[in-house]
Amino acid sequence: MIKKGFLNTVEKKYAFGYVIVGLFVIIFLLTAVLGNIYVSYQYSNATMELIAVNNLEKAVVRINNSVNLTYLYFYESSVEEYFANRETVEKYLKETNLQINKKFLRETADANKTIETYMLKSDLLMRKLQEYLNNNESNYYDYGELESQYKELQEVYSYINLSFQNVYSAKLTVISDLELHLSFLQKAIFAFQLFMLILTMLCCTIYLYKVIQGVSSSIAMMMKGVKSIEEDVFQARPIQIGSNDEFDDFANAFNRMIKIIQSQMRKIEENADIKEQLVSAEMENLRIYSDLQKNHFDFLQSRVNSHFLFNTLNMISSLARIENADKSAELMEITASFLRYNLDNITKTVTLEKEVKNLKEYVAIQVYRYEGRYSYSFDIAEETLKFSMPCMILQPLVENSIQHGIGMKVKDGWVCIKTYEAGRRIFLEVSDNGVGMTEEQIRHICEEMSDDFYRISSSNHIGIRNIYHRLQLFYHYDVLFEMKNINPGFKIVISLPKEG
Amino acid sequence: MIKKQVWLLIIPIAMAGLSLAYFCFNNTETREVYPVTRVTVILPHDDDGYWSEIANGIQEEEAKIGEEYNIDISIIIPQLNYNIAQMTDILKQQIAAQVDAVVIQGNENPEFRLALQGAYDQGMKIICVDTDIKDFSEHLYIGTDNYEAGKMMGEKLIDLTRRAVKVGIISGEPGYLNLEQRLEGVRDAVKDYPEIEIMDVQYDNYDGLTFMNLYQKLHETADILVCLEGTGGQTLSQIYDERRSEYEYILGFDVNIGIKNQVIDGVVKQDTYQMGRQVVEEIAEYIKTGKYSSDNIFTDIQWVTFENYDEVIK
Repeated sequence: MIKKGFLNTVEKKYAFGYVIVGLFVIIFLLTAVLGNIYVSYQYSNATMELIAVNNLEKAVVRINNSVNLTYLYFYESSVEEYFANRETVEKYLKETNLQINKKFLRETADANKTIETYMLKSDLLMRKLQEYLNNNESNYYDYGELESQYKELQEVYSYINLSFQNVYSAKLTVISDLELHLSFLQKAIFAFQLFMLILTMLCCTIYLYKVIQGVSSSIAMMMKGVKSIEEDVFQARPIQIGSNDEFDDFANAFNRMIKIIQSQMRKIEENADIKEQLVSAEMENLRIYSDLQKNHFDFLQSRVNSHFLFNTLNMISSLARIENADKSAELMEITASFLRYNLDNITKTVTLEKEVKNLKEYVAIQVYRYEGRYSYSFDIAEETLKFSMPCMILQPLVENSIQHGIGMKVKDGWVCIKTYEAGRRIFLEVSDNGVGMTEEQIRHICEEMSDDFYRISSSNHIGIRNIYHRLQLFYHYDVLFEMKNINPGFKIVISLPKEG
Repeated sequence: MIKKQVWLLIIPIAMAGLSLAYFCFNNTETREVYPVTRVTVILPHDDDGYWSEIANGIQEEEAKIGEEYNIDISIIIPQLNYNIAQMTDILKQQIAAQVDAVVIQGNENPEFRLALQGAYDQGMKIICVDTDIKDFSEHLYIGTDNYEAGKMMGEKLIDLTRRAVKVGIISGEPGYLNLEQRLEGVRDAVKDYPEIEIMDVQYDNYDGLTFMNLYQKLHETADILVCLEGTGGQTLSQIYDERRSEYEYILGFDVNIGIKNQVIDGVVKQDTYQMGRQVVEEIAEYIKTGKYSSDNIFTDIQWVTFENYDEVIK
């Protein structure tokens, strides 16, 4: 399942918490760094401005010294110094004018203008003095005018000094204000940092509390789900977490698990019913087996008799041969062979071929017995000869036809035994032209055959029922058993699976 | 859910950051279209109520419109009250500093006038406040119509007396046009009342001690004392706290305390605050239009007595 959003795992949620802390730390540090840079920049600016003003003042002092030396002592070198220093003054004037352009300060503007006035006047004076010095042979010169200009210049110079005092005073006031401003700024930065610190702690605490609460809540919901399963699997309800992380995956898996368990439990319950049915069937089998054991016991008893009879018959047969009674000897031999088959194969699986051979011996005995009053026909399909089946299936049916069917007739009775293959099944048919059965008798036999808990009854058709149940067990209840009257006679058709 | 939480974090952080940035950079000054106009106001006296009110008017109006018109005003006061030599020196400093305009109280001192003429010749604008200057080149006067003020004083004098009285007059200093105009106004007001005799004008040189000497000396002959400027009234208000009997009436200019305790009977109150404001307004007008709204800007005057004191001062 694709979860929406970025914070879709517990790990990412925790990591996001650390990202928040990191972000706050970066802001914290940035504030400190930027604040310091700003404060340093401001102090540096203020200092540079003061230095520029001081440089200007020193330069003005130097040119005034040059003026004084030229005017008072006629130093020719001072004239050159004056013009050299003048350039320095102009340079510093530009610097201070740049300050004014950046941030207007009246005192600096006044000082600069006063210096400009001074320089205009000093240039005029110095040119005249230069002219005088260059023409010292001249007898006439207006000294009064020079004196007046010099006095005027010195008056302006005194104003320059006052201006510089004002500038320094103003600059110091500005620096004082700056100091206050920066002090306030530093306090504000500190307050901001403190605020950020508190905000960081608060945000992280709230955020991590939410994350932890979400995890705890998810675990609690899962525990609730687990408990509900413990209490009653069928009453367990799906858990809905909605945390948009692995817990959602877990909840989905858990919910699927609940569904699977509930489905499995339902199947188990259904299987329990089947098991119960199986137990019942097993019980029935045991009962049938018990019956079989009993039958087997009866059979063993009869077997003892049969062996005795078999030995006796062999002895009689030998005597009959000695006394030239060949028919009797043959009959004895057939009877002995029939009995041997019964004794050897009663609990075994035999081929249809063997079963038919045995049946023919039985029929031969019956021919001797009834001296040709009845006829027997075999219609055995070749492909059915190798078919495996329980022993003694066909003989009781033929015996039944003789006893209850054609036995009632004096002559012309017949019994037909037929086997054939159709589809995936083998069909065994025994039909006769005897008296048949009433519908009531057929129904009664069918009821007895379908009764799982059949009991030994006084019925005359124990053989048929016994055959039916043996076949049912052998072929896992895949046996079709049909009985019907034919006109004249009676017919039993047994359908068995080819691959039993 | 998570997204909402993220926004709740980002918004306060961003706001805090912006606030800090604003705090750091809000002191950046921006100059308007107009170039800087440097104005120097030379006030003669650092008093408490008259020139200080003019200074207040100037500063408050500068705070209001100074930035818009880029006007920078510097107020300078000499160390000594009304010292013309110091004021002249200050004026010369301003000429050397090539300021754009000077605001002065006019006086007729030749040296002062010479320096002022130098300023004018250099292209500086001249504005006279409170007191005009006689026959000077193009300039602006802002202040009381002093002749009308003197006339108001004379009329009130007539109203108070209506009998034969001698009126002693103490003025500030000779050579101040405003005082001369006030005196002329007083004289013109009473000229039709011969029973009111105006005695010779005395000058206290804006000095309280000199005024008190004159006060003591004049009361022997004068019935009524008229002070043509504020020094007299201020001095009396500070020395006495109740009415005195030396004079029948004492009238003056620009004093408040003396009226309240009835040491002074009536004063002509000039609107000095208005004068200060008008100075800045007219400079702004000149910057804007290249001319003043008029050559003479007369400010308001009021007659204040004990009876209407609260109403007028309010």
